[in-house]
Amino acid sequence: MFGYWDALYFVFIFIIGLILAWLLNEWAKNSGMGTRETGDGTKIFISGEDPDRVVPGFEHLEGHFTGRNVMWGLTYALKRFFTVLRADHTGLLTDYVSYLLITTAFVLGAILIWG
Amino acid sequence: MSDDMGVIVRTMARATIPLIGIFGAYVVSHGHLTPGGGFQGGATIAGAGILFLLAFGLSEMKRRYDKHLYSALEGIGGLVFLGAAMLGIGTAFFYNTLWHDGPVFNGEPGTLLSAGYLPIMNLAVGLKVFTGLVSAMAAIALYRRWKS
Amino acid sequence: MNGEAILPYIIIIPLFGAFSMPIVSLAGRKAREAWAVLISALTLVVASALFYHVWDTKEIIVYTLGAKTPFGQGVDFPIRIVWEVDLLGAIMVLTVAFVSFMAILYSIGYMKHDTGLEKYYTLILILELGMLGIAITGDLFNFYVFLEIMSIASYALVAFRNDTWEGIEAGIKYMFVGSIASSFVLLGIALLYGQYGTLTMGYMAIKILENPTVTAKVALALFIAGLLFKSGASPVHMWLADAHPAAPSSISAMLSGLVIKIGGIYAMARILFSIYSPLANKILEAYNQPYINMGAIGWVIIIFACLTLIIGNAMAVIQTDMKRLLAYSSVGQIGYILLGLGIGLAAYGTQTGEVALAGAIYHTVNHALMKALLFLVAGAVIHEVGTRNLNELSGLAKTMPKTTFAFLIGAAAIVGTPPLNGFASKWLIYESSAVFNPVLGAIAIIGTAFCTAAYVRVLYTFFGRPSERIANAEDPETSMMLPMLLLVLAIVVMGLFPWQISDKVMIPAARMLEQFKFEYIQALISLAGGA
Repeated sequence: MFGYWDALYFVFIFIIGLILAWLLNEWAKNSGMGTRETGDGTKIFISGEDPDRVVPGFEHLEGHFTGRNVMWGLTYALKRFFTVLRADHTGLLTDYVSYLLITTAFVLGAILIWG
Repeated sequence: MSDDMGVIVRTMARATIPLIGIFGAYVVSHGHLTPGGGFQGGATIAGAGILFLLAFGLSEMKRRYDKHLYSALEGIGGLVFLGAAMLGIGTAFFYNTLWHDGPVFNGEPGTLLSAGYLPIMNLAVGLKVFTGLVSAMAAIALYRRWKS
Repeated sequence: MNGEAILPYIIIIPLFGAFSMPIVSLAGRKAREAWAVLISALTLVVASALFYHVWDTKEIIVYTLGAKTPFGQGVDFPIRIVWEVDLLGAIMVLTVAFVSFMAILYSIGYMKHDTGLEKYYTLILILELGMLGIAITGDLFNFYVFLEIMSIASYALVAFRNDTWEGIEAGIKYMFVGSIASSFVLLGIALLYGQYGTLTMGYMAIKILENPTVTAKVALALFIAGLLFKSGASPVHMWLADAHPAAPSSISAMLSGLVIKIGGIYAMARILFSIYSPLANKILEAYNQPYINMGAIGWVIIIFACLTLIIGNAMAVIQTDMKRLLAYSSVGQIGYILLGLGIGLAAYGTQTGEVALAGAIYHTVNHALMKALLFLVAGAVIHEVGTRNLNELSGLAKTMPKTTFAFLIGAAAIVGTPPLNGFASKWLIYESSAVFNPVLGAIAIIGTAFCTAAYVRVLYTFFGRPSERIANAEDPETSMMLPMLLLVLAIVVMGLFPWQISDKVMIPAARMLEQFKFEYIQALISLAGGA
């Protein structure tokens, strides 16, 4: 049951995956249309951020990917979760102590009841 | 403007600093016999140093206090402690070989020259605590002093 | 080679190095650096010898301080401080010595422009000493002393760069809350000592077996709470996200790679498995005697592990500060280790539990290497570019190719890409958690999804189009590059033999920790014959 894994298998699978991806790419190139091999068509597409476009007010970030927007989809989809998390990380010493005390109380209660 | 505490305090400090030092030395050297020991005695001697700092002011302290000397002395205190602990390394780390078979410090229990490595360790710890605390107080006194 | 003879040197050498550092540093900067490197290299040699000895003989080393046996004259219980090293402890000793050596080597170049370096090297050696002491100790109060040595050295080192307020604020917060957590641990030790009248871990185990009282349970709860804090588990991980980014990067590597594991995970494993023996409690349960339900305690740890997994990795996704991202990622990885530990306790006695425990130990070692590497890379970036804001670091791959390569390897390993070491340990944890409870397996996978997202962001930044900010950056000097490359090498080599390492080292370590034959207690009691 346990331990049926070997790094080598995964390397093989990775290589096969690369070949498949390459074949898929070739196939898409042949069968697709509206793709240019020069100019704007060669740009890397990351989350809709155009590296050449200048956003007003963000000129200092002009012309390079920031990585800021790479996981935009994930961050946006879980916006409420992240908002709660961010609001929780206040950075106040008293909050840290409170959480420590809550944790202690929880562990103590759990162990005294079920332990 | 001088930053000492005036002639009365300075005179009193002159009189008491040696006494505090002697009492601290007593606590250190009798560490294995009476309550107290290296840390307590060292802290007492450091009290004399702190009294000097308060009574005579930072400028006088700066003249008398040598950072390198004190940190080297602190290191020596630690090394002596470690060396005393390693005397009996043939049997075990911290083995009290002086007490069991060593030439000195193996007298009658309750006398000054007994208890093996303990007096040596007390002296070492006393040195380390004294130099460390005085250094710490000097550092606090030096740190970010605003001009009034 | 005699294991007992070399064990004390694991403490003596760093202690000697730390105490003599103020004297040596009078001879100048070169002497000081050479001394620190020499001391940590010697420690690494001794640690390797110790690890090899324990691994080779599969026996627990018991070392008594100050006498031949731990038993007093005319009494049949141990009264002296003992050090007990089993395979888990030996693995930890080796990891600590290796990563500390790397961090000290790295400091030569990284801390070049700082002042007060004799204090820095003294503290870093004392930090190493504290961690080594925790790994080898077999005495509860001795454990607390080493825990405090480690903690206080790390408080000071977090605030070492006191020219910015960030370090001082993080250090003060860490110190306040860390002291409270330490005092919980001390209170637990005091309760146990008051109840059972001993401090030796192996003998304490026997006393707890004879009479598992409510006091023992309360003490266990205090230990778990204090050590969860020290290991940076959610919801008490916030200090970690402040302290680890604020420290100098070589210290961050030690804090994230070692301190949270030795002071948290290892100590917790030692207390749970060696003092509160789960096997004995199972036997007591079978005979309807009062017992401590270790399965429930395992579930408590699993709950915290799941929280930690999700929150740590998710917070890593939305950070813009590179080192803060790595710190949150550490929190997430601690979640995996805790998950393995919790399953090892909840499924005690089954193969699932053993594999989970082995996975936890394996991941502890792997994560120490990976996170040390990543923090060293972050330090190199800060050293060259002067910022750790991800929005300004785009295109680093062009100007710092070797550093970026090291980061790529570290990130791939921490996400769990197959040919690297992180995969094997994570796989063991996934597999055992899926067998134990499929929901836990799913949570572990979700955590990894967040982790991947966080590191993909950094990698996109590094491989993006170069910004002006990084135009003048270049790969750092050899003394900084060498530790990174050595860590990369260790990660790749460990990744090539995952099956062998797991079988030969991690599973035996887990088995020794589970102590199906009370090995930990036996090793201590077997010395009684000589007294």
